[in-house]
Amino acid sequence: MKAHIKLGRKSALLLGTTILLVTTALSGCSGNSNNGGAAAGTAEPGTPTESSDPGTSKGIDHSKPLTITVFDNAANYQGEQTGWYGKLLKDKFNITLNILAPQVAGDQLYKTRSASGDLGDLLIIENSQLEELIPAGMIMDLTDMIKNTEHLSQYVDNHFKPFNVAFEKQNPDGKIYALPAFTADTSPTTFSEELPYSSPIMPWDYYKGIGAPKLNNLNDLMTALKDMQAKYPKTPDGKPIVPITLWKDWDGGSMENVRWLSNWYGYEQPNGTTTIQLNAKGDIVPIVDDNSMYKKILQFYYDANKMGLVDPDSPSQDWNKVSEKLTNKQVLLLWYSWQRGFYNTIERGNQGDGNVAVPIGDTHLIQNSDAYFGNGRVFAIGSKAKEPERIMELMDWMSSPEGLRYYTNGFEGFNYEKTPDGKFKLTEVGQTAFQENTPVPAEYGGGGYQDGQSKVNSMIMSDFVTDPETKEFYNSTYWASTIEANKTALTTDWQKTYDATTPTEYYTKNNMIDIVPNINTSLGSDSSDVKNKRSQISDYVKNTSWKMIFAKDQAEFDQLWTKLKSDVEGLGWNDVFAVDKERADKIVKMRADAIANK
Amino acid sequence: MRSQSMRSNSFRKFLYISPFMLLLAVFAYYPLYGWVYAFFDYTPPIPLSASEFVGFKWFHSLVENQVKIDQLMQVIWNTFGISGLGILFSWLPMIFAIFLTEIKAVRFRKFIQTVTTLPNFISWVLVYSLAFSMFSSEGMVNGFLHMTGLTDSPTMFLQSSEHVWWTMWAWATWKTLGWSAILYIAAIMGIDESLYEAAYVDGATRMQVIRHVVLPSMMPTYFVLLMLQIASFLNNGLEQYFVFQNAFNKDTIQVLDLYVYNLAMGGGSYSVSVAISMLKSVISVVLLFSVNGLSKMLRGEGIV
Repeated sequence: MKAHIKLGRKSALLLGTTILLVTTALSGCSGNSNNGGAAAGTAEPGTPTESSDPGTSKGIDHSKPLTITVFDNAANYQGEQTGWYGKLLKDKFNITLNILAPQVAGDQLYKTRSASGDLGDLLIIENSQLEELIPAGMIMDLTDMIKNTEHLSQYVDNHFKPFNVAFEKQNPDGKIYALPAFTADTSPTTFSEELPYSSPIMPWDYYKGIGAPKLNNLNDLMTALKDMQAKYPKTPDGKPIVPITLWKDWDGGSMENVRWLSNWYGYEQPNGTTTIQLNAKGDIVPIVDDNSMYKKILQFYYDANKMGLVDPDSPSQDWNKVSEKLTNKQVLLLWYSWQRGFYNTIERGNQGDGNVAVPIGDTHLIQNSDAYFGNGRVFAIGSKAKEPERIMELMDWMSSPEGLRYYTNGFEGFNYEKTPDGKFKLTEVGQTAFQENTPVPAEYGGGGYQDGQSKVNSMIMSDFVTDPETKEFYNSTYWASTIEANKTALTTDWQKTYDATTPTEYYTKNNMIDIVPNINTSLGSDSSDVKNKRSQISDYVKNTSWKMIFAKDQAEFDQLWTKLKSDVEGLGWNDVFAVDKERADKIVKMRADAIANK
Repeated sequence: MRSQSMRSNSFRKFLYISPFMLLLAVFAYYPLYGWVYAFFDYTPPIPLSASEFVGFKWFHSLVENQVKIDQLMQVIWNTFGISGLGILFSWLPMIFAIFLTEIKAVRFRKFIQTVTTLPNFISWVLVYSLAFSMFSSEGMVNGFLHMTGLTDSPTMFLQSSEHVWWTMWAWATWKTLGWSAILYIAAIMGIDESLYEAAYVDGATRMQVIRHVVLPSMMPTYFVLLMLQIASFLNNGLEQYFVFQNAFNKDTIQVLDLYVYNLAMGGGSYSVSVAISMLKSVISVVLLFSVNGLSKMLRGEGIV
């Protein structure tokens, strides 16, 4: 009898342990992993906001704190938005952003989260992903919500509606599911920037230091880089200077560093394609064609590496390391227009020091016009998002004059100030706040200015929208006051040399640029078969490109190329190329229409 | 009465092992249900229930043309190469253990054992950052070579595809040598003292004792471990190769596990990678049983 009771206890104990073991084991593989532990969109009871702004709230209750999970393809940062921008959102809307960044965590983040049926609350994704997610029921319909917004509603007819309607297959009713990112409010065929997106850029003082030789082609460029490197081997504080530095972080369908140099000679690889390049005339060239610009640029990098011009860190470094080098002026050849911002300041400009466009004689750039219909990414709200009206309110504010000023320029009184004629002007601090990561006053939340900027790294309306108050773009480069302040020794010297006010003007005047209408539309998403092949081909192309640049000799370079051509064939090149060609044809046709409708 | 106590007794024994059976069911058998993905055209975010059934299409796609066959063969070749090296040198921990126990200075022995066991607990990511700080173009080794004037341009240790199998084997050995030796040390401790005494009485030298007493007593342990290692011949893990892979060494470093990962996570080809891992499981089972059969034939004992 006693033994019986004992046994019962023991069994119960064992059973208990077993159940415990299994439950812990099972909870270990529950599918819902939420970074940071804060359940997405859970409103916890907490303190009411310090300053709920009655100006923007239309009966929306801000008293409960809200954490928004932002799935953000544009972000280079993963985690909670902190710093001054974080404080701003907290004070204004009682919202905290928890950013998930595939650029940091890897592309599988999209696959695993979308497979689980909940990508996030606020989504900043590619057009092609939108096309997959709408049929899967993971995107919220914003049609009614956007009608009631104060700022976004004014862009619906010209920008959002045409964009959404183009997704005929997924969106037969013409609802509004997504808002294209970086939408400019100029026109579909103008190009407003002073410098093309990708063009040769070099440090002016070094270039003049070797006698500012005329550059007729890439060989001249390499010679000039070689001379500069010989004359300026190290920065004043002893860091090595490299003529060309490469990095792999953003390699997608092909090697990104090759892709953007192809633009110098008139060939672009449209977003949503990986196997082709396209020129302004509408010629479609496979990148593995023997005469493709892709191959010519690979050859250029290979030659440059043979001359000792390519940074040996290239294969192993990441973008952060590169930006550090740019900040220290350790790199001689830049191409992205925004790369100048890492070093150029007005103060340095006054000493004739900074990176400027140095045109090369035989280049003929291709440049997309302002992103009137967005840049290929979209803002959308996940269908499972809690309190979508608060997310909408946030998006609306992001596109309001106030939100745009904060995003692009920071604080009035700290980064910029009003001039007597009612325009804006950068303050002394504002001119270098980004580069120097200037500490922000405690009342705004403290921390460094750059650290505290919006880590969303994308916006719905871009800075090429006119501020109703000043009648100038939000982009501070184009303020009259900045242009005035920018009349530095550097700028005036450059203008005198090239007889033009801006590089864009120089290229246009000398017939060295083609501005093609920006096309941002539904190009369809890949079938799983094509997706499969595309990813294997892209992988192969990227790896081979890197190997070719660092090949031992021309024979190895050629051999790798020949093998690449025949191998991608076997990996299904023709199927992927057919899909890309169809997409490119659509782009070409729409460009022709846009020009006809001008 | 008796049968009841027997029954309760066996029920109790069943309860003892039930947690482990449940664990096995949850972690070894339940995931097998995931194999169905290999027969569907599955791409997230479309759920499996809405995916199209495609039968053996993905299995076929692995070998549909010469390029793909070459690629798969290269991957299998790498897997065999790296695992093969591991098996070729699988006696190293045993020899290490023998010599370690021969050290008479206790403090020194403990020190060596700690130092060699520690790397086992460092994650591969950290090992790579260590490797990077030593062997990258700006790393310690290149700095040293440059300083001493042996080279004038940095050597790309991490980016070369030469000797990748050997370097991978070397890293893995450095990491696991001390850890793998623990079992052998335990086996040495279990050897009957009288055997040693008898050997010394017969006038054996230290080396002869090792050869005729210690080694033969270690053999059963060694063979069991070797068999387990052969059974996991295709599972040479992923982390190590994942952190060390780059554009330049990918052809020689990509082992099956990494290939599956790259396909699924890099390219979103879940179905294809499931198909490959199914093949992997099948091959592993075949390997285990053939080695087991061989062992039964040669040594009269197996593990299954």
